[in-house]
Amino acid sequence: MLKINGLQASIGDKQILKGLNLAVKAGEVHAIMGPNGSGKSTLANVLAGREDYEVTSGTISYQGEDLLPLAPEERAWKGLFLAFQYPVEIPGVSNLNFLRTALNEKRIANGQPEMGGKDFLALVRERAKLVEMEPDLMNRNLNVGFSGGEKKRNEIFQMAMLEPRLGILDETDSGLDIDALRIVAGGVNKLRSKDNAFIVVTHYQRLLDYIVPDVVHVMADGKILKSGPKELALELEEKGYDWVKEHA
Amino acid sequence: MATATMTDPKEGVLPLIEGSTWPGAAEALALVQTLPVPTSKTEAWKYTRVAKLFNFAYTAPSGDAPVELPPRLPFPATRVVFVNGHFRRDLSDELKADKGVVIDSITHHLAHGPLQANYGRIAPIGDRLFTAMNAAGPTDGLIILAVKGAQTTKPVHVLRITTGNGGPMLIQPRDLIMLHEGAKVELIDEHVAIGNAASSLVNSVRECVVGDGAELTLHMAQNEPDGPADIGLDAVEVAAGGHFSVDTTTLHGTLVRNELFVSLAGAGAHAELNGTYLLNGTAHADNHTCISHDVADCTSDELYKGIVAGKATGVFNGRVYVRQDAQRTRAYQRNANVLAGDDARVYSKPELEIYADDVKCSHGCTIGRMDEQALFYLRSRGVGEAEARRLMAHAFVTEVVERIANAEWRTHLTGLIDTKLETL
Ligand SMILES: Nc1ncnc2c1ncn2[C@@H]1O[C@H](COP(=O)(O)OP(=O)(O)OP(=O)(O)O)[C@@H](O)[C@H]1O
Ligand SMILES: [Mg+2]
Repeated sequence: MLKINGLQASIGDKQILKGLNLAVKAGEVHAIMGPNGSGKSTLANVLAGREDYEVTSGTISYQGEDLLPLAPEERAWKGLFLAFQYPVEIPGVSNLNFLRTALNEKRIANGQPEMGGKDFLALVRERAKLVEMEPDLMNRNLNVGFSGGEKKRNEIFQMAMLEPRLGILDETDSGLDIDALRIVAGGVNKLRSKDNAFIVVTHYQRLLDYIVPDVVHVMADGKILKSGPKELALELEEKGYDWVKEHA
Repeated sequence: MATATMTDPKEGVLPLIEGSTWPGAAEALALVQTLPVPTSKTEAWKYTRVAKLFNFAYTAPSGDAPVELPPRLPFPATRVVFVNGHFRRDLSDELKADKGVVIDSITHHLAHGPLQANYGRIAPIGDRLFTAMNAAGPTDGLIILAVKGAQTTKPVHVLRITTGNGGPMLIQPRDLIMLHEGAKVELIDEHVAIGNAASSLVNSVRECVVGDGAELTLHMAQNEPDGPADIGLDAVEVAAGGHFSVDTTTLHGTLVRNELFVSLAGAGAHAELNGTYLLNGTAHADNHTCISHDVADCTSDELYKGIVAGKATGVFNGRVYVRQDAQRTRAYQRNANVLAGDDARVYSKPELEIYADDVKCSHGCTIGRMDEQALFYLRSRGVGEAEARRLMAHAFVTEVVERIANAEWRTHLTGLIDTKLETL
């Protein structure tokens, strides 16, 4: 589904990704861990098409297609979804109106008819249950005044609505209380299928108890240093990142 | 003397206003002759150059030009039509429907006592050349007189049409709106240009007297591609417990100057000023507002927001003046601008002059670009770039529109704004 080869990316003069390789197959969940500032969010943003980052070398192929020339919205239409580490507050844009626009643009891009108001609301009700979203939040302005946890829940709710092929969760667990963590993880698990894949960026092994990954990667200084089975996360928790750096 | 006249930039204007018999016209004419044309050195006109308006040899406006009226507003309103400044009874609706409310051409009332008590008093000339020009030779105008407790049952829709292709005209509308105690009037003032009227000048003055506990609501829509230069002054006096609210929406304009002077003259008077400007091309809109808190216990709330793109210019100058004995004043003012494009210009200047000590005043002005982070967020969910920008722009100005009480006007305005946003 996703193949990243020798990816280098920088912002301004600062190189952040320094030759990153990653391959994700359909049906898999990959966890990416790594110290602050190692470039995890940068990778996520580059995948989603953020223009602030300049890709200076390397390739990204997504479902057999070169991802790099595509605009962020085109990537979304092709099933890519990034749950932001810091979801943006947008005053004056209603959560549901925006989501309906996004969903219908995606449907049109994929040759499907637009979804009418009634079907849309039915889908909203169903998917909101998945993450136990307060109905009141739906009608509010996008993320405005949401608590940290509510924002993260809203990210997963949107993901559930848009049914991505490749979902990238950037520290969605940070700021969630234990119950919310379970609910959000449960939501992701329900969305998992043999046709889609997830990349889960996290600092905490705890999340991986709920969303069990197929592969765990350790990222440091813009590269993936080590990859291994889910037990690698436990080992990391015990021994810290220096251990990986020494043994890389 | 002769040489002075030859180089007087007002040469193109003077012949048109001389000999007027309106109240105070002769005195005003003398002031037109002495007051200088504002230049970029004139503080109040720093960003709005008007010298070029005096390069035309204006002709007197003709009111009987044949016009095709634009479609009606999508809700009930009493339509009053002015063509090139002249009242057109034949094109206007029945104006006597509301009991106790007189709606008419002001020319039929110039000799009446109530008019004389207020005419020229609410909008004194001072050092304002344009006000002097207007007073020296008004074209025609609207009078609305609402007796104690009277109400308009539907908004009065004043449609001011300027026709193009007939050479430059000097049109000087002069209105007087008088609300006695407890009266309620809602007015929609819409400027429409038919054809290319860009070389004409519409120089309007409207005086409004809001009596004790009365309520005046004014909606102004300026949507004139190839429209005339539009220089306007609204002067409003609000008595005790009176309420004045205005929304001004500028979507197109060759050169638009909206001056708004509000005097809160009785305890408990309230003014609410809302403005939106969405400009592109070479449009120029200048909102100059002044709210004067003349007595204690009055409130004012002002919000202007604009998106300025292309080679357009937006100017906001908001003066709030609190007199020494205007204690317990509350005055809020905010102006926010989005600059879209490298050639767009925004000048924003709040001016607070506070001489009382027990007041709550706040003001803020911002000029920024559209939030790229938010745009990326929307796009990453599959909202196309153009649509994402529109959503953001809509969100930005909707804050102003939401403050408008009349839901029908709000909906109509939202439609106009969204149509305009498609082009920004
Ligand atoms: N817009 C930016 N301008 C300058 N530096 C940036 C920018 N974005 C990221 N960086 C730098 O790039 C490096 C990687 O940042 P990134 O956000 O990708 O780290 P991360 O692995 O996600 O960290 P965390 O675990 O704290 O979320 C950091 O040193 C950061 O300061
Ligand atoms: Mg990060």
